[in-house]
Amino acid sequence: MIEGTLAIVLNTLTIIIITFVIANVAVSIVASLMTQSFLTIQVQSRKVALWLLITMPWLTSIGVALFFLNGYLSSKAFEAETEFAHWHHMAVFSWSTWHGATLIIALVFSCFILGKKFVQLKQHHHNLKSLTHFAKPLTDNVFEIDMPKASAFTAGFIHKKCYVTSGMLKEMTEAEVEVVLAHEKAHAKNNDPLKKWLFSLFAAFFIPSLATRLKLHMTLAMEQAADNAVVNDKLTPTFVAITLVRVARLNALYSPIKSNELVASFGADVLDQRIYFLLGQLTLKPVNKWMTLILVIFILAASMSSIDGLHHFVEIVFSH
Amino acid sequence: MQIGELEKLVLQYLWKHDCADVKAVFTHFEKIRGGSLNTYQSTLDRLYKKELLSRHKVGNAFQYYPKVERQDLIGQLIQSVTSDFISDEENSLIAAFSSMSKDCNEEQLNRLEALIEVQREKLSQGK
Repeated sequence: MIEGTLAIVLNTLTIIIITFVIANVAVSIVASLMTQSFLTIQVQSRKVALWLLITMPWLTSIGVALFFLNGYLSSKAFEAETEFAHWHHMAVFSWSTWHGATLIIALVFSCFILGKKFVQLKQHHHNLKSLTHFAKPLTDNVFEIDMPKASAFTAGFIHKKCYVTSGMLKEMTEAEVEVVLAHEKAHAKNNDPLKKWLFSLFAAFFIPSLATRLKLHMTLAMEQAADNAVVNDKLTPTFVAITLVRVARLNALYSPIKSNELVASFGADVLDQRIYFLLGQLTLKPVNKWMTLILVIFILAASMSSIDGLHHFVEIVFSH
Repeated sequence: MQIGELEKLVLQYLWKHDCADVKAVFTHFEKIRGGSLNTYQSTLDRLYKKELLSRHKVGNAFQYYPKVERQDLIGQLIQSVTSDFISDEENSLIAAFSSMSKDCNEEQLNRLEALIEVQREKLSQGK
């Protein structure tokens, strides 16, 4: 049995984990219900809403834990067991209870997710470094890769670099290449590679199907923002749109067309949405701030009030 | 997979010459960029361990051969770097112009092109 400060720390961590699970379920329900309405939100607002959703379990769990801790330390709020939210034994912790098991499982799971993500990051860094060795610098932070397949992408967290294949440079006109490079530079300016990785890190704590959907919405928002950044007096939205279709055609030459898989319909939706966006055929509205506030309060209240209920419910099955 | 600058040069040499032993590689690079025989021996060993070269013994020395073609290696590197972040097993660190557009079919592309053309006509009539 652990008592004192260490017990308070371990109990606080347990509260964080339990709140995280409850908030995660609540966010998952909200996100599943809202998934189609994301497409009607303005790009910038959509990005903010997605970041809020994906970080909500973390913010809620830390907020609730601090609230409980403050309640315990100040010894004013939540002393009685009948209160709205409380924790019975803040200064006592035992590893041989379900609290201990919860803490260990959460720790192992978090280490697994973080380890996997950092291994991926390391591999990506090595591959990118190797690819850069085979690339030829064109201009500042723009590299040409000798490859017949048309492709262009931006990578790197701190030193962001844009890559374009010789196949793309050969197959496309000067103006089309200008569109592609301006699009890639917009990704670099927006720090999209880093943001994508961070988003996928937070998404890894959600159920995979929902995580995929949220990442798809974030990808679409980033692509639309980069498409929009390209448009100017010379490069019209219709020209950017036709360039996008042209690149899709070039890619289709080298990749077998998939039509029945889930990924295929995702891809199709994304291209459609990008073209409709460029042609001004989408009626996009700013996010409803009041509705967002109500949802945040709902998730916070649901998480806070469920702690005690869940605590008692689990103890029907397991010994304390 | 990480390929260093010297490894890249040795690979390029072997792509050009098809096969060589360490002495041939050392003789070629000694004039251009210096280094000892051991440097090139360990570079060839590293490339062999990364499965980019194959080798067999002729007399007392190994003859090294490229195991992958240049285009295939670059293709593999691009594939691993650009794998999209939608799928869980793949990376998530790039932002691409053609993100997911490879999954579109001919019919969809024709429909989108027609839509863009209609918009263009509308705009030119409005001017």
